[in-house]
Amino acid sequence: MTSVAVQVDYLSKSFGAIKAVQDVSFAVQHGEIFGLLGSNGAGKTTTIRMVLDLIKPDSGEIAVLGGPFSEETKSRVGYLPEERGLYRDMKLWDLMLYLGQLKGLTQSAVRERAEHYLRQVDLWDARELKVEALSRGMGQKAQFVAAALHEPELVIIDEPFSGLDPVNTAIIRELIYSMRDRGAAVIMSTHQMHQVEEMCERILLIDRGRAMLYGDLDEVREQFSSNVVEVTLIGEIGNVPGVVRAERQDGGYRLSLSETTAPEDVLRSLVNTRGVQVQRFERVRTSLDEIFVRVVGHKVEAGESEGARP
Amino acid sequence: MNLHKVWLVAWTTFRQAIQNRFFLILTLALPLVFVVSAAVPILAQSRTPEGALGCVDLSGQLTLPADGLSSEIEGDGVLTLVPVADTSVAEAGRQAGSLVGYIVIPEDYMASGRVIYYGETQPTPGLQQALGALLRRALAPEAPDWVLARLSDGSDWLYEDLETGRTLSGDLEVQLWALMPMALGMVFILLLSTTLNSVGPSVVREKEERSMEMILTSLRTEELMGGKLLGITLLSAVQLGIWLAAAAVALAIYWIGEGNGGFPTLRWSLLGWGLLLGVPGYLLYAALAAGLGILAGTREQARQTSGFLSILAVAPLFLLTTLLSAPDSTMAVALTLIPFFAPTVAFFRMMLTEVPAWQLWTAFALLWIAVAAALWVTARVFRMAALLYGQRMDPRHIWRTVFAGSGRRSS
Repeated sequence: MTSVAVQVDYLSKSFGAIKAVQDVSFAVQHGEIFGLLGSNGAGKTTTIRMVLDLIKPDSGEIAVLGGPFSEETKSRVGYLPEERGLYRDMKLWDLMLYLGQLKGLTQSAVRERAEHYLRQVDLWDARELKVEALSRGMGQKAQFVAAALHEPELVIIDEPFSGLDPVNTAIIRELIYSMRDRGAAVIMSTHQMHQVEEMCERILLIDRGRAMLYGDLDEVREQFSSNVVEVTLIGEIGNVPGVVRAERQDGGYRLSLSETTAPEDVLRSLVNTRGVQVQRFERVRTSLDEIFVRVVGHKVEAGESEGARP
Repeated sequence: MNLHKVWLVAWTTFRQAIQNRFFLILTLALPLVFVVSAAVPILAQSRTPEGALGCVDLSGQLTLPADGLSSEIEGDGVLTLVPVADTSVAEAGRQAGSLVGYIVIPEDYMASGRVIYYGETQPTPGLQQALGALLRRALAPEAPDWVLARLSDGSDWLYEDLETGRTLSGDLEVQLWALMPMALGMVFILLLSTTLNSVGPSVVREKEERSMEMILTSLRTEELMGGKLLGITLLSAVQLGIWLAAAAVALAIYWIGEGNGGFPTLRWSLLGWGLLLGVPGYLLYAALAAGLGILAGTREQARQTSGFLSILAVAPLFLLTTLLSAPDSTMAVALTLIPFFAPTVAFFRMMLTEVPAWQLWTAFALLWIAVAAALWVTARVFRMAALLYGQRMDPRHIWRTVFAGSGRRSS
């Protein structure tokens, strides 16, 4: 098994005059959770659809699980689209059998795995219910199980947590972790930045069809980190060399440092200041939310979606 | 194409649809409706008023004794036909209750054969039969009974079929033989109607329920489309099979009730052409219904769209009189060669004429060309429209998709 699950090079796609995706390149490794970020209409869903061979790119190269997307690849890929939909008048159990077999599993294998996963997401008792009788959260979990049932090597999940309560969010999160731990490559497209910060190792941020940020999440945050520290201390802070501004905040201070000042120098100064006892000293990390705003120019809305554009 | 996936889609489509209560009601209720509608006229028939029926003979051709002539109405009493001088006397007798009604034999009876019946209710078939026997007796009072009986029963026709060499006997078998092509045409139209009603909603289901993307990461559009068509075909076959079985049972009861033995003779060459023309004819409509269905956004829209095809399918029925009056006319031949009408028109014509083989084989070839074109167009449209949730494609878009090729989806 190669370590690269998805390799995308210079991908472009236009719909009429609209350039949906322009020269986007990225790679996703096996055993990692890769965050695909972008605002409404940025080109995420179009990119995903091209990776899944649902639509053809105008130019660029895509290799999925070692080569061009083929019929054989389909049984190795799982997809949870943003547009949620299941056969409403089918029983959940029948649905699992149907979708599992379409992915190439035998009926006995589907039965075994469906039971395992439905129990894991607490849907086993609902297996005889029709899909239309499931709550939104249950339906969401059911669709996730449908995407994971055949234990794919590549899983693409679009907004996996939308509409889920904290308990179900935790269940799905654990499932995603278990897929990653099994060696699957997981591409997660979401607007929930805190989930990306918590779960993803690397990200790609797309805006207006172009790749704006790409790489290791920590490196991206480092790239956007500001020279600011938060301090909680006993005593008066006074004048500290290299600090250009000190603001009181939640019983402590938020210190903005000059560009040439290292946080360690400020900490050393504070520790050596008579009458000051440092209780907490922490470099402020720029949140992904802030990075997003700085790059894209507006804050991402929770309910943003790319709608129905192909 | 992965046939296992096609079969999975087909079986799931079939199973889902056959569990639908509307399907069950329609499938099982239709034979019941046939039986009831056949039984209602019989049940609703009024009993024959027993007693004397006046006869005003203006033709002067009948010989009726003063006390009248009597005849049994089969299982329904006795009818006595008594002579009455004129209509005013007859009407007075009817109003007084001495007559249950009266008939008037017009002056031109011998030329026209017309008899006018006056009564509170319409004459039942039994009464008409008894009345016929009495009129024959009154026309030829001296004739022996066996002559009258022979005249009454008519001739028993035998028909020797040159194709099979089998001899058909009895009116029923001859009628069945003659009506077989018509029945085949009607069955074909019925099959198309049930199919067209189901294909569109079935293919647009994934689109309406937003599950198309997920499904298309498991199988090709062609496999999905093929599976849907196969599933619907199975469904229509089951539905039609139930209806035909019910019709066959009813026919068998009638057949045996008429004193026939064995089986009615089947026109095997007709059934052969039924398959040769019916299969591609069916595929043509089903493929187009799938293509039109996927263009719709919802099942309801898909059902409306397939209405256009339903009209095409039943169009030969509107031309039935013209076709039967001139089964070898230029129009009839032209319609036989148009793929949309070929099977039905050919079957209808076969009822009255020997359709030349060149016409049937040409229709067969044109049908398969049309099927290939329809499948090609539908597959392209299907690929393009499958992911357009909640949207309908405009004609320009469809044209570009079909003839320019968008390359939107691989297969």
